[in-house]
Amino acid sequence: MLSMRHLAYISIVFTMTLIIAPSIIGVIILLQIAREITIIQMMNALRSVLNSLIVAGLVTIIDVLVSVPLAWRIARKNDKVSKFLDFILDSPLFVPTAALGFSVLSFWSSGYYSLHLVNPGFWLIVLLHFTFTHPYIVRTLIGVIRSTDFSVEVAAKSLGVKGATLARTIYLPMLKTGIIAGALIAFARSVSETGATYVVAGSFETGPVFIKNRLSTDPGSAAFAAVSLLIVSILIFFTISRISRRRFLPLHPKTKIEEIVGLKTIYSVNLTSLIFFGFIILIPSFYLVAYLSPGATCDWYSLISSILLSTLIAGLASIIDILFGIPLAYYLAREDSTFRDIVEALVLIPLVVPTVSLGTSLGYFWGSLGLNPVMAIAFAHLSFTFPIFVESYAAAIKSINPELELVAQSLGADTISTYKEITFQLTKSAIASSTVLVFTRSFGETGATTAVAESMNAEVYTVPLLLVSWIKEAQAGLIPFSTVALAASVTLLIGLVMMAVIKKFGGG
Amino acid sequence: MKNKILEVRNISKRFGKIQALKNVSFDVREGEFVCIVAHTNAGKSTLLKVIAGILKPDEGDIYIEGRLATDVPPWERPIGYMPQTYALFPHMTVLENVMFGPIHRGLEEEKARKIALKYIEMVGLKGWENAYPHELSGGMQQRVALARALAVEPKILLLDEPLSALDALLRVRIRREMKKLLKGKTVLWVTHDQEEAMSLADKLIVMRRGRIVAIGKPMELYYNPPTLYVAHFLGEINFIEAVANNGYTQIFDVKVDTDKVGPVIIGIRPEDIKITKEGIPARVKESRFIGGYWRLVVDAEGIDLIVYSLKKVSDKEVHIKINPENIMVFDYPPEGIKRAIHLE
Repeated sequence: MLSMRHLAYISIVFTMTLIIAPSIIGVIILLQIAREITIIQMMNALRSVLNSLIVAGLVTIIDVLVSVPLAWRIARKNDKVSKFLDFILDSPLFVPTAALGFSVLSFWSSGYYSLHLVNPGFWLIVLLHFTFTHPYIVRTLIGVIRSTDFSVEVAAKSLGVKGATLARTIYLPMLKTGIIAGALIAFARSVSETGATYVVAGSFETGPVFIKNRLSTDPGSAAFAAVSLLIVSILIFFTISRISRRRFLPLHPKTKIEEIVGLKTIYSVNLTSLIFFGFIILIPSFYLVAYLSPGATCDWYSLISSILLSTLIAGLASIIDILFGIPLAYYLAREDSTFRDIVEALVLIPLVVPTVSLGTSLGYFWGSLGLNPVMAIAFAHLSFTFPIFVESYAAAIKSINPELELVAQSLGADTISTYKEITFQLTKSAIASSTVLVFTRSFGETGATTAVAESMNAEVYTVPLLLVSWIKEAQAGLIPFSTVALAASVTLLIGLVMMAVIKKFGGG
Repeated sequence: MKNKILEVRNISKRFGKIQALKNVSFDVREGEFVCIVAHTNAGKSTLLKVIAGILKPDEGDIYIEGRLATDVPPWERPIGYMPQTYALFPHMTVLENVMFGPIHRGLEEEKARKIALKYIEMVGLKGWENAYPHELSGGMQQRVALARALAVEPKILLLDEPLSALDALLRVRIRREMKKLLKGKTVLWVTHDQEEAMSLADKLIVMRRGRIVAIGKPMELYYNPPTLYVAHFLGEINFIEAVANNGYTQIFDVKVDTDKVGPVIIGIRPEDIKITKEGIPARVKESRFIGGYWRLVVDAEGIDLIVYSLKKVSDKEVHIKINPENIMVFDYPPEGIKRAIHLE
């Protein structure tokens, strides 16, 4: 008889052959290229990798700090402000990364009415990375908070536990899985992002920028950097997921939050997280819209067909993510073995391979198998969205009391019915929020998509690729910036509507 | 004698470095009320989960109704399981929670509803069918969990600390109610509370560190415990060091027959020592009222003894008398008394 475990094994086989193996073959190709480089090239590559880790670490830590209060507010307070925040939360992900880089650059550094505050380089990269990592952490946390049974909280409150003590003893342990899963995704995104970082990097080189700069001139160094980044990231992931299962807490249980934060500052923390969301995430992400002017127009046919194409690819990737991701997430959430840890580390690989190199190797791989470019792009999108879905949904399942499932089984339900009637029912909203993450990630992806299309010599225009080409044309003075701003705004609106539909579907 | 309905044979289970169960074997007969009693972390919940089929044992076998069931999945075992946390399905009403079992055991919806309603009424929750778990009090949730486990009409009912989440007053009342409700059913009840176990069980199983250390009727084990640990675990007791020789040992003027030779421990329950007008002279060192009786500590010939007295004792100088019938004699434990009775 079919059980959840069988489904998980089917998913593992599927994941390994269609997602992990191609990525690993890509890595092997990279290793071949990287064989003959000098020590100096090696040191330069490693320095860029170190830069990436510093950026990713800094971004993730600050993200976590400002995300918890925001996610909490959205998930627990059911008012208009929450609904609005929930609605626009993922919107920065709809801005294609290249356009996002341009937008952030225009806001902070130089451009139309720019602040002229931060020059391209380390700090601008950090500011940029906030915009596309923040939604992952908040969204994952929201999924976990909504799936968590807070009857313990009621009990604690009735016992007179209040404020910061409640946060420390009850909430933090409950949010642990969500914080870790969100942080993993955000870290991986930051480490591997290419398209937008390139725009704001100046002379500072992160790993992916280093790779992009040398892809054609010095492929050996580029390959070495890609492989080093990959290995270091996998080690970090493996360690975090092992430590986290040993009841790891970001704070020692005895640490008193009230000593660090102080009860009165709770409101200012909330305010800080809102201000952060507004001024560091939202406005810079959409600063492109400032270029919008009355009478702006664009090539509607190209725009609409690219939106349809992106929707098709993102939809396809999301559906396959859901189908194969659910059993795998369940397996990762409920199993406790070394094999499980290895599977998790493998699943996360495509997330940390810099998108340029992932796209190039996947383009070669699928192209050599005779796949058409659109399908190849869809498969590439599957590679980097699948880990996001699995990680964030597994976190939600972990927050469900496993005893519920055991009781259901003792009452006569097999593992699949137990999932359908108990676990699924309690994690529906997390499936929706995970789907939002992967859909938006696919919809806005630039680096890997470009690389796949280029390696297959195909002219494919997803929304991000169209916008990138229009930005280039605008920078060359061929078309007005208002055209780009208009196209980006239209995309954003359509994206927000689609997200509202997914959330409605999941919440109902 | 009734048929064996459950046979547990040499079950062992290990979690990493921790040996949760070691060579556990026992039988349960039809209609028997069996209590497994042990200190926390002794492996009793693990044992219940192995019997329910939720955990696979590393070694050993489970037979249910004479058939090998070790590899039978939980949903095909004729058992009802109620976990310590109740684990009520939060997204289902009381009725849906209780109907879940019958439906998954293959009954049609109408029939399942009928059975569910019967058990909801039996546990006294008529009128609450459409309430959700979070709308109920702790005691009510406990009864929903019980009704849900009963509604599959199991051959064996497995209850893991069913009363531990309730407050003390409620606990005793519900204990009595449950005893009535479960009359005639085969029950395996796990608890850490020896008083609860003794008041409920037909058969008592005492566990320590993953092993069974005693099986028997409550009275039997209380008055004839096989080891110091069981004697101490099942109720307060005085242990006095003595020496046995020539077929007897002695405490004060009382001779106790024993075939042991050498150093021994004599065990006397506090209720078997009486404060009297004459007898062994003793001095009251401590006196505390603990509801219904006084707990005294007296010094008799240099030996401290715990004594229960129904009446208040105001004199400092008293006499005591020991009931010779219930005196126990144990071998002196090589690891020392303290180690031998350490709760674990």
